[in-house]
Amino acid sequence: MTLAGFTCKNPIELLTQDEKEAIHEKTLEILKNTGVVFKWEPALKVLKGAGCNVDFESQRVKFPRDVVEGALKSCPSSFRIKARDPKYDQEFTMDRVYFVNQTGPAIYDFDTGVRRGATVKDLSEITRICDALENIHGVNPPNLGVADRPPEVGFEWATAAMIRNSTKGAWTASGVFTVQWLIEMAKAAGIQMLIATTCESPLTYPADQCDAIMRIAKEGWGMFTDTGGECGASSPATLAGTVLQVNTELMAGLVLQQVVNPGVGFLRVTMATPMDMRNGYYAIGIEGYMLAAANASMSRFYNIPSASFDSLTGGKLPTDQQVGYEKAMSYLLLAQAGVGYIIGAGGIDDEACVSIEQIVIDNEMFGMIGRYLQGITVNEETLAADIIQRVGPIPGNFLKEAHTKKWWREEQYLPTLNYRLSYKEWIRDGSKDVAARARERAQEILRIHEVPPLPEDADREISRILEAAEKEKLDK
Amino acid sequence: MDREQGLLKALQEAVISGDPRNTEQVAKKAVKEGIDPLLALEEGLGKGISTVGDCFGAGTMFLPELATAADAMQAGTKIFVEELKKSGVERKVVGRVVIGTAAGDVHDIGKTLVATMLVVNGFEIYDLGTDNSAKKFVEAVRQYQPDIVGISALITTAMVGQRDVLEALAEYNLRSKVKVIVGGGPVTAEWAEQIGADGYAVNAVEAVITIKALMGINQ
Repeated sequence: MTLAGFTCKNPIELLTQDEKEAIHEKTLEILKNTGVVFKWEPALKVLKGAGCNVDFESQRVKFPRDVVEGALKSCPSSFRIKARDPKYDQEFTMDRVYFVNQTGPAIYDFDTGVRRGATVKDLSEITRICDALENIHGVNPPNLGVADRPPEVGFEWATAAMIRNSTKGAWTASGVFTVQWLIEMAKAAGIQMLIATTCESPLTYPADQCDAIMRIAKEGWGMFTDTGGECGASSPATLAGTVLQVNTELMAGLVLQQVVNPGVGFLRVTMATPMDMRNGYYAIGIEGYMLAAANASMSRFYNIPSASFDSLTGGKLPTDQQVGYEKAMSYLLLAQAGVGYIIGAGGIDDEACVSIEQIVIDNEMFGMIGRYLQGITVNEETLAADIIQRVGPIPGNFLKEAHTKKWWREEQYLPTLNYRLSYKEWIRDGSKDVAARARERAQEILRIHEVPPLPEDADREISRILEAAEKEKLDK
Repeated sequence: MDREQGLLKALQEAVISGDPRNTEQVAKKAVKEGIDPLLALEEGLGKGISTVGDCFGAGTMFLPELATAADAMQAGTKIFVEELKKSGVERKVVGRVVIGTAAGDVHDIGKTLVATMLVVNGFEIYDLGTDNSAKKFVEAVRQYQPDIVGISALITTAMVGQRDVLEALAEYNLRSKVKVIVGGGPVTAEWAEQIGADGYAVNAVEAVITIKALMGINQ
């Protein structure tokens, strides 16, 4: 069965082999001499058992070179995450490229143009739209806070809405001591989930994230570990220094995971971005995209797949050009760099908001990028030297050639949202910009697209888990 | 007189260059030479930090300069406050603020930016750091008797920790003694209202404005 997703055969490299080796050596040096803090006793214990130097008082773990090399050796170069529909299983390899949607606490309201907190109904609709769009290869819970549920169980409700409304491969964030509920829900639905665990820069794994890494590793599920140095604030101001720190932090997480369960898959993820020194906000833009590409380079050095949260935009509306050009630059660069799992569809205003129109627009960008990744096929038939000689010069043309009939569809990506007709026809068709056309498409999807429901007992089990999580967390 | 002017200028420059150790030394030297501590605080360190604040506002200085200047300011302030204590003179500060990140959240940067901006605006800051239980906030309020408590949260689930602080302050009969302001990535004005906070701000500059408004300070 052909799985969803694109393939990047010839990734561009932002780092040379010598530079990668230098970064690797410095990583080992930092891990050995300074180490990383793990604020969780059980993690400290297993790391000590594996031969790390552990100071239980300061919770600092220092990693001998051989322990790191052992983890790199046992970590596989590919792994699979089981989806509700097997054709959407996600296979993370050294050349797969997946595009998925982004999360955010607010939704840009479809009908009113007002921004507001997202409800469970919104999450369900957003997920259904992602489920329908052909170039969105997996789903994320669109919002990790739910306006119509208690904040303590926002992750659980968002994750449930995602599982119920799509058969595509699923990702979710682990939350704070929430991961056990998420794992239970996935099991109830008969799937695995890619669950994110996070290192806090600089060099610190919080208690709940250590717990999550250990639980996910024990399940034997491939895991997503991210770190987000903010250059000049929580990581060095230099891009090279941030690449090094990200590499060090990811390596420490990898060791913990491999010590708990050797051979389980690992996805190296970055969301590193500089800080805007004028105001303290994220300096969203080209540097963050470069950091994601550089992380992909380092990941290839280790033969471990990579992902990124870095396809952010600072723009606020799906009609804003800033959203368009930042996303286009970032998606294309990351795909060219072979980032394996690119999170971003629908996200606007950093990670603060999700726009349904934008998901539809991004889907179209992904289609074009997928075409780019296919590259140019050069062979006797595609070169068509014989046909050029037979048809040319003018007045010959290619329209009636059998070669044209056969090849044009292979060669062209057919966009469905882009407007290519004349200005006159554009006026006739209602003078709609791309966001308006995307909105119509989304409305149409919501009207017709049906997602097979979970089996009744699985759905009931998820409801029971939600109730149990709510009871435990709210009665505390 | 010239000597006093020279000392004040040295204090200003020490703050502007953002070197805490140098500022401390210049402050000690000024004390030794008999400078009036109140004058040193206002016309020396204070003028230095407000210059930095103005340059930041004008876009000629940036957060690294601002943050190091705030550290220098605090290092120098400590020296002069000790001198004031010896003479029993009370120093007037714009306000006292206890600030920290909520339980379960180790994010530091946003909260530190707010603290920096408050120092620049003449506030006295007690920074509790990250991952603070409600009890820690309660203890800090008892110890420092602040006008304002600022609670930061970047993780959605840590927002609950903000509510816990408010509940704990009420439980220990401290709620009426302080104004509470909340902030951080996912925090909204609606959330602030829902949990009964007195204020909310979207960024560090707004936080100063909100706090000043809560304290009835003319801006």
